[in-house]
Amino acid sequence: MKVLIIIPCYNEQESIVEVVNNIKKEGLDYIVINDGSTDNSLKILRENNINHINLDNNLGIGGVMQTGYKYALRKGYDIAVQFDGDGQHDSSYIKDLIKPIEDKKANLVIGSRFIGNKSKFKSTILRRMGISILSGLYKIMTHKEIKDMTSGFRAADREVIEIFSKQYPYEYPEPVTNLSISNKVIKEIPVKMKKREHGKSSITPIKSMYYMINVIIYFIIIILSRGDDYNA
Amino acid sequence: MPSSLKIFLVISILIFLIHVINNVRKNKLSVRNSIIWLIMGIVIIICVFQINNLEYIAKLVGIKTVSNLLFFLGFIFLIFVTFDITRTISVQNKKIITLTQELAILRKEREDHE
Repeated sequence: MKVLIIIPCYNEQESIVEVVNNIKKEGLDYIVINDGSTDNSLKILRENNINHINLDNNLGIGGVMQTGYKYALRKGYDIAVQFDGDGQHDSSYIKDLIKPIEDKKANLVIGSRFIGNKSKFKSTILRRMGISILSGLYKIMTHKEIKDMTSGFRAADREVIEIFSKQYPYEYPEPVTNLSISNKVIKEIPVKMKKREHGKSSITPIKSMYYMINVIIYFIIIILSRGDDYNA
Repeated sequence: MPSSLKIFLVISILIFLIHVINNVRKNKLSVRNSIIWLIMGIVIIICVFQINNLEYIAKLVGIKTVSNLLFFLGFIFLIFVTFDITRTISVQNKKIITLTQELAILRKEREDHE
């Protein structure tokens, strides 16, 4: 099966080369999507001959990931893997992540910090609380369990690639998309995540409340518009 | 209402209406978006000449003075317009995102062929 690693890049000049080199070591196809970085990211991508797409406007993480899914669909990839450009994700887990899809046992596989004991880094207490609230809401709405709702380390099969190319929320995409495809088979596997070494996390404490409110509204909208084409 | 005030109001509204029509002529405002402002202007002119009937309407809905009724209606109108604008922005935002994505992917595909 053809696998594409989608790496979003917004001001990741310190980490992007290393992240790409790790992916290359795994011998996988990749595409870096530069989301209108204001630092030297684009220059670095060009100088190091890194396979990349350059967005003229800053679209935010959702718009970036959807670009990756659209590209994967057009190029005929069977599996697309979301992989952060900041060095938080460990490329050696990609094999585990795509295995259930290759075995036709899942449509979407989430790399989870909260199952198994692989990941020492599990984010801050406050954020973990937020994630478990989302997880609880998800369980109420779908009777299914996803522990790591906000994980951005995910692998999608062809069917999900098609859905995400058409419809992908532009903000706070992970928990929302987990819900919008909850009728598909979603599987979680344990992965190790690192604390980001360079750059700043895109989520500040002040934004967290706003994040939660947004996701909850999205959840309600998705539940209300089951079967319709909701406007994420 | 004193007639001097009436004349002042009517002239102000007429200038506003001319401004709206001019913007449509110069393609700076679409016909669709101009309609609401044209209607608003005409409604205000009607109100100026029908002030007695407005008093009647105000009493009917239980508002003591005409000015309160007009403030209320103006407020509702502005809320409506603001909502319509945010809705339009959302739709346009989505279109811009789609265009940016398509442009970036097409450019990438062209580079790959070269």
